Amino acid sequence: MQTTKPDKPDHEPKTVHVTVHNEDDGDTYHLNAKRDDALAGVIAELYDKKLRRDRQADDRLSCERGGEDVFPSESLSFGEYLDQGHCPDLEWLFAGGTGGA
Amino acid sequence: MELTEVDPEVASLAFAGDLDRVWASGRPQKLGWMRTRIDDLTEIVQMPGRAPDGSVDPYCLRLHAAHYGPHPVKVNFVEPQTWTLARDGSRWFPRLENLPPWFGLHDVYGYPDGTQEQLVCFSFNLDYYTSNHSPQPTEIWQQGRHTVAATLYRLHDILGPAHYRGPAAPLAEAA
Repeated sequence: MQTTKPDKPDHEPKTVHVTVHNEDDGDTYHLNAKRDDALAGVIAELYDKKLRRDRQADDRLSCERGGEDVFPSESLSFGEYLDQGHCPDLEWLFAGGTGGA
Repeated sequence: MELTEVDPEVASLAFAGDLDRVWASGRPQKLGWMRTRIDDLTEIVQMPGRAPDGSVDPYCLRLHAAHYGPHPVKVNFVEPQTWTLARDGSRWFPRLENLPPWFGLHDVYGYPDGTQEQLVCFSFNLDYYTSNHSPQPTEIWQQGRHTVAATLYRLHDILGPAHYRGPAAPLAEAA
């Protein structure tokens, strides 16, 4: 008799995949989170484990498509962030401070 | 401020390695950049200017890496073929508006040593440091944290629809 695996329960949070391009050195990072997780957690992981530096006031984190600033949305969960139509590709650009002019 | 040149072999290895790493990411191809090697320390990157009306114009950026590693590359807008500095009023010099506080472009700038030359003014260009500018600590070029990627991606940003308004002269007048 053939058996099948039971479907995963509907309430299990889905994983989302975030890609971050570091425009200071050209590296690309891949981060995972659950839809219920706040963006703030992934942003903290980005600084702690990938960039390995403290966040600075003049850092920029923006959506690759359209350039929307990510930081103002960091209290949202990924589910809320995506459902509200922010950055559907979850591809972000990081750039530290720049001086000039 | 006088900056010491790096051993050419060391500078060229770092420069080529960092450019290769940027290109290996696939983003330059997606963004329409093209790369031409001139010599061990010099590359031309062709990058599109993207105006708000959707028009696109290519620009040539000359990157020179004699000081690269401890300092950024020297970057200038140049004419194609001759690679001489593009001048305001030519097809190869961009018209920019609404610039962010961290960027300026001067056709002719008076450097402290008396040189009169183009200045692409931001902290990821070598010339920024030889023209008596004073960046904030978070803005200074840091070897290891910044590579030529920072120079190119900031210029890509400047040549985007938020700031780029077309060539300084129409193509027909440049002929």
